[in-house]
Amino acid sequence: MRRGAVLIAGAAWLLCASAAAASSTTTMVGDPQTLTIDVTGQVAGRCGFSAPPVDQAHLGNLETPGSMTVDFTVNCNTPFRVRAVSANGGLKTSSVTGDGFTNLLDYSLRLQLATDTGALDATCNADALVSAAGGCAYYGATAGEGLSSGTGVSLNTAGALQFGWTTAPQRLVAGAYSDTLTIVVEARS
Amino acid sequence: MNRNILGLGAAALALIAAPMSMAAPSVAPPIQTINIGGSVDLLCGGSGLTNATLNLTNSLANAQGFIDDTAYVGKSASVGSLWCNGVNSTATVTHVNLTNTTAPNAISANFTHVVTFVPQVTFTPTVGTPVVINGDVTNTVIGAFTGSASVSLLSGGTANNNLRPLAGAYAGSVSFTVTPAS
Repeated sequence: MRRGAVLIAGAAWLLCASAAAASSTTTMVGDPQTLTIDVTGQVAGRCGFSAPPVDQAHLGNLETPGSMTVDFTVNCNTPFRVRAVSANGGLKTSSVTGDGFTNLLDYSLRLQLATDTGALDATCNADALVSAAGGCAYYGATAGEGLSSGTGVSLNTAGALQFGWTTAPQRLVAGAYSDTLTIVVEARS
Repeated sequence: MNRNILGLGAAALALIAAPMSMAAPSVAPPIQTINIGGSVDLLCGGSGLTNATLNLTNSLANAQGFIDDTAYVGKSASVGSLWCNGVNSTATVTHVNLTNTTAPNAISANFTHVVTFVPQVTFTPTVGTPVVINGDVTNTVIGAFTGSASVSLLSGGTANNNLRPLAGAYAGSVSFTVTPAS
């Protein structure tokens, strides 16, 4: 009895579904037929920061070696690339240098980001983030450049940028130092 | 009965359709710029800095009793290495002429208890052209500097002409101060 009810309900469902189709079929209850309805859908690829890194990072006194980590979260439901560019190729001050001094301090930047197929982990110096000639794995000024996630995706996955700096080879001229780092995550086309 | 069955079918379709119409979670723009900043404080420092003593071994008077420039001109002393990281760092130089402090103030004409000299402070950078300061100056810009500093004595010129220094011990000094400035 219960099985019969299920069959009737199933048949009615099919009837209902078929009613929405262009053609109609006369079907007797108890005379099962099979109709197949293909249902398709899509989920738009999306890729971006669900929690972007801070837009200001103050490293403090640059004459003392140090490090700073900036966290972020990425939400990419499709394979993606991550790329970055440094405006100055290091921390730079506008002060004019004298002999034996420098107004540019290079720094290292470690990029870490987990995906479902493994972690992206690469370290470059800022001076390698101004052009492709620097050879940085995640350098990229335009789409298509940078570090690929392979087949991996990152769904609200935490990443980190770790800045590190050491004593400059030459003494640093006094002043305020700055750089602008642009980081992009984008779906791979 | 038919209405119940139809209701079940509609629910099933709604469940199928639900994932298709679900709003995508909000995602921030994929580009972020990070302004990175740091600073280097204004400083002057050095190593091996010490007050030096410049002993003039020859008499300040020649055989005729007049001031002998050769006794002090060109004599120098190094004061070690120093640096200032400010691009407008300055130096101030002061000096006290060689003076016989035990001699009386009231003395005959053409005698003196002061041997005048001009101080010269030379900042020799590790790389580049030395900065040379002659005479007493206040806050002369030497810029960002790293290297060594030395002091030497230049002739007092006409101030010593035709003067005979009184016998005795003479002492003077040269002082300089470097100040960081941006």
